[in-house]
Amino acid sequence: MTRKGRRSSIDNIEINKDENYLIVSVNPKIYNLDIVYYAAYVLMDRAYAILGGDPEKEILVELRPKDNTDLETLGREFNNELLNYAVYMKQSAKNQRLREAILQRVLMTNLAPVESEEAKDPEGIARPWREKHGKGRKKS
Amino acid sequence: MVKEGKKVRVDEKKNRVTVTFDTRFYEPESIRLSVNDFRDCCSAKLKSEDGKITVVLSPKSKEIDINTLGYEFYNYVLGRMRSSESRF
Repeated sequence: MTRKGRRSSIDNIEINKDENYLIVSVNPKIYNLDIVYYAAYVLMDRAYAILGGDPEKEILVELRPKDNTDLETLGREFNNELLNYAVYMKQSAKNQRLREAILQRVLMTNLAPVESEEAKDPEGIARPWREKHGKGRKKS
Repeated sequence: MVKEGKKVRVDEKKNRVTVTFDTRFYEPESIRLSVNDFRDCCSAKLKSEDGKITVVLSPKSKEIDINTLGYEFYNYVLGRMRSSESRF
């Protein structure tokens, strides 16, 4: 994969109209490899994606549209997807503890209640009034 | 700027396409599984050297477009990597 051809107005996209492909350059310090995978995966139904370059310095993503999609539009959409997944991953990392807490709570719901001092109810407070004083009450 | 060779080479005379994978981006296991999945429609050879895996695909049917086969294979490997959920 090379970065030849006419430069477009967008700095990280190089468009080769003659061979109908474009190369998006991604800085792995801004968008890590997982984000690049996600973005490429999303566009897979509309374009062929090939990853190359150096995963430490500069990731190059070659995109070839399957239909008549405009190359610049495709490149811009890829940039949008990068941003989309970067935000998603950041939010996901932020909410990780909350998600774990919710999941733990959900799983705990199915456990049998623990017999504690409060649960014994020696004063009979938890007993319904009908049971204590209503018709057909049990005489204890 | 990083320069690399062509990743997809089509040989129309010999009716085969050669695709090269960089193992820093593509998992060897996913490539192997993809080759296995493509065996129904293509004969495939797999070579591995210096952090690169080369796959040579020859379509079994004339209906398969040799010019898009290599790119389809690239996409398939990416999809395989996602379904294995080991990378993303």
